[in-house]
Amino acid sequence: MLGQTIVNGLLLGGLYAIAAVGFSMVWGVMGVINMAHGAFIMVGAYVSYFVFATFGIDPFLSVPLSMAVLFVLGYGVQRLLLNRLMRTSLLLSLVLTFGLDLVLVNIFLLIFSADLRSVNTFYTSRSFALGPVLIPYVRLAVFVFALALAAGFYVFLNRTKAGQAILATALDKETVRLMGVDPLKVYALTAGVGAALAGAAGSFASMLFPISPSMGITFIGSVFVITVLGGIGSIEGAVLAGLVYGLIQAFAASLLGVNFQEIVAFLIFLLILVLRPQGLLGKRFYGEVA
Amino acid sequence: MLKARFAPLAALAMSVLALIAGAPDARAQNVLKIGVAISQSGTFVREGEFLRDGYQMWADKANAAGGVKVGDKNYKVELVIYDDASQAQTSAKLTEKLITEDKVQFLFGPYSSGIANATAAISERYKILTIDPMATANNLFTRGYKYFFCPAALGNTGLWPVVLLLNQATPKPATMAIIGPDDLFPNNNAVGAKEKAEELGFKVVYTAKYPKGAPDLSTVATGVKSAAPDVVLASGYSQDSILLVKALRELQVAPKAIGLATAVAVPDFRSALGPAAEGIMGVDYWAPTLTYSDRYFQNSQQFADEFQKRFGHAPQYHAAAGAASGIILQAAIEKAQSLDSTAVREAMLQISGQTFFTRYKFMPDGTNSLATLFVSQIIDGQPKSVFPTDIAQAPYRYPAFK
Amino acid sequence: MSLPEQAILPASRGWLEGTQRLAMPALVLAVALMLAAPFLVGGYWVRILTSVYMYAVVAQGLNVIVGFAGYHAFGNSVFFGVGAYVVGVAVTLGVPVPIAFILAPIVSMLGAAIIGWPLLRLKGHYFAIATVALNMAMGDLIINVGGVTGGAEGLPLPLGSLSPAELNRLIYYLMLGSMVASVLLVMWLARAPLGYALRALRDSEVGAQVMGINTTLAKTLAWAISAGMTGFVGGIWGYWINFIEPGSAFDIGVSVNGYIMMLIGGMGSAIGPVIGAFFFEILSTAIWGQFVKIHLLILGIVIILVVMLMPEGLLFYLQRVFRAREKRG
Repeated sequence: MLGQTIVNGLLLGGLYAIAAVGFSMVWGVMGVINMAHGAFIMVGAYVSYFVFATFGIDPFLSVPLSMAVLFVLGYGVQRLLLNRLMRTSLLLSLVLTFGLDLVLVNIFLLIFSADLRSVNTFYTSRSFALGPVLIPYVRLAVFVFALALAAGFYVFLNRTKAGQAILATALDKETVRLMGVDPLKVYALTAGVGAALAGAAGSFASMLFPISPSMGITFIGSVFVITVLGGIGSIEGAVLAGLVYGLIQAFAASLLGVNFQEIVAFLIFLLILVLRPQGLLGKRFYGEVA
Repeated sequence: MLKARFAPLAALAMSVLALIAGAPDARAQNVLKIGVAISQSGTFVREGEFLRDGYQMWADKANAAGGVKVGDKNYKVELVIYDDASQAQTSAKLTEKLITEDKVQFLFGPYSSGIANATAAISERYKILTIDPMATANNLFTRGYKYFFCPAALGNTGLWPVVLLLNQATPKPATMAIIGPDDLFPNNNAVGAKEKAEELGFKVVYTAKYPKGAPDLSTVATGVKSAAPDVVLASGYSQDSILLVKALRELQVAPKAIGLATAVAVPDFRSALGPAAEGIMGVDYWAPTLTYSDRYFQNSQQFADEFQKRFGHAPQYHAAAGAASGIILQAAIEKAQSLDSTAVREAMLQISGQTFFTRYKFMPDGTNSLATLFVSQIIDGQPKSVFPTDIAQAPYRYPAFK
Repeated sequence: MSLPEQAILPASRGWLEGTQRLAMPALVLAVALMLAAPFLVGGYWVRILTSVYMYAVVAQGLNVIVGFAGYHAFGNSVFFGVGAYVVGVAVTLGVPVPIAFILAPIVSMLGAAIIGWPLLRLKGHYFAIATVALNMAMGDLIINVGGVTGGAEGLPLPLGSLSPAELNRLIYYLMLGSMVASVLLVMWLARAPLGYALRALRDSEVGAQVMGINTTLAKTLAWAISAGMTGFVGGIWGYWINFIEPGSAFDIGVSVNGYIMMLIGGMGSAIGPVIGAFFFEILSTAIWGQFVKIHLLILGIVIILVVMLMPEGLLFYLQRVFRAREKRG
């Protein structure tokens, strides 16, 4: 039972981690809290579902497609809407993205209706045994792919020019102008990448959960907690926090009862905010936006 | 110049015409208005639309037969339908609007006991009779409301048919797990099931309540696995039932039977699970194989065929329940020979009989003492009624899975 | 300064020129209409107006903590829910209704003071999302506690002996009274030492401390006042609606809507939230009536438009329009 709990928590934590990385990045770099992140995940899930239902292509293979679609969406939203707010109160971005979330969810409700849809491949619900513990194939695959993607993103940030531009802008958006970097373009790029990661998370989620237009709600709460727990703007933090979060939930559920797992998560959230706002691995200058 | 002078005259003429066109016909028919605040969007949109189509089916049949007869007048049935977006507060607001603005004489209730809780308070205050076949939570009927009726079986009996089936199975399973989301209807089901199970000698070795929208049930499945029950009963809705079955399979939990309080009838469920749905049992309020009859439908198959023709898809039990509610209301109105809610309410307690959906005889608390449920099992990809044996289409399979 | 001028006067901005002559008679007419409304219009509209007044108070509560103190409490709806449940539980336990109505804001204020001690130390975004988390946590807490609160199944209240018309009228006047009281409260706050302290700390917390202002006390008081207002109308709502469940009592939409109304009307002025509430409720009712299936979609678009085009609110937008016209004319 203990082993199974650990496995359950870790595997799910991988998915949560990738769901949170994009959100954390966007917040850390631009100070934008994207309330529509859950909706982005939902869109990614639908893209994969649609491709699967129409062409029979496995969602793992359609991840690049959902990432591309979401990149365009995220980039567009930032470029056209949010960039204008960057000079005024950033807290307005919260309200705006809340409105965006409403729009996205309802558009999808109109198109797809609230019918539950699910992706069933030949390996769905199958698992193999590793000692006393059962490991479902899908969850393991999601875990591996999610971490690989996070690692890839880390490399992108630290080794490519575009990535470094993003990191530099987060550090000091005035000085980067002197280096020939336009912060607004960087913001748009960051938003696009953040959304793309959400799209990937959605594709993965489509393999584990039934899809509906309102599925984003179940993610956004966890994403918040993980972001803050890991440290706003830190990818390693988000990944670590995602795994920790998955474990905490699994243990809370098995020790206290499943209906306690939400409360435990919130308590942790509030505690972190009060005791250690920079989270596990956060750096002080990230997220300290006025 | 000419145009300018005529413009005000033209405007006046048009306004007068508009007024005349819009004015109510002085020789208007007698109309029986029934209000419906129901989920046409949001979480319960599917079920809400099934239910609404059921109400509409009755309205159409009644009108085709000349309307509802009171005294020497024939009343045309008109449904006034609003979308409550699956929100209790919205439904309550709409119910009040229906009563005070649209001046409906009766109400057909919303889908979901939670929402009905809010609307029943309104209709009770205004003393307007409401029939709601999908408001089956027991607490709705312990509050002393006089104007709220439900023809279908109540929540606490939701899983009883499965328990009774298992009681007859050979070899009889010894241990049972009961799980479900923490919500009104599922809790009713779970508590009722546990009582019945223990009464019949089953040992309930594991129970769990998970949050309503929980995205992941692997911890519950882990708990079930370590308790290793012979059979698993689940009291939740479609979405979490799908998650649960998947989680159980992932962890290779292999009970001899899985019984759900709902969902097997709904096509989404079967297509979402694919082959994993095979053998799962669920509780149904209705199937086209029932043989009750009433003035409009000789049996349930006829209802199913006509519904299919009218709406383009096969009916689910919600639709059947909705149509039956209309038939019952009509019977009560005709017995009371009045459209006054209080008189019709008295009549509701006096009538008894059959609709294609169920037999009925109402108690003063608004419940139907003759309501029944039965078990369906997915056999070869299709739900078939398997219990009680007198209405079974096929024998049940136990152990349910190979 | 005349009464209407004080109401319209934004907390730290200039005057609303050109409309002062209209202000007094307009206000009198408005108040008279509102008092007479239950006798002039049908039940449905009375209900709509009651909602408007309720939201105006929620928006006004936000005005105090956001507009004056600069602490963006997105999750302020938590106090709405607390108020509702206090009334619900109290009435279920047999407490007389008027006492329950008084208990609701008291509990909310105490709650804000207690939870404010750790939370108000957070800045900006952190505070905002902490309040959102608080809101969600309260809902979960109720579900877990269950028992007399009804838990996940909700809490039905006894029907009471008032007829629907009487009840609606009572609630209408209660909400109207709350709204008027909230406007007067904010008007007082604008000219009281506390109000100046809050605005000082909003503009620079460190600066305010340097000037000797007890910022901790000031912001805690502000949040307590905000919570009390929100809790009061939350309690009345609970009684009115007759059935309280965690999902709708702690609905984050209550604060988001309130926030938008405050934005639309203009932060920092006493009457801004009221204007915002009227505008928003009328707009959403009209949309809802016409576009039943897509009203949430349209609402989302409206939110986006408001934030993009009028982030400072209708009032200031109009102000600028008037000023521009005067310059040209």
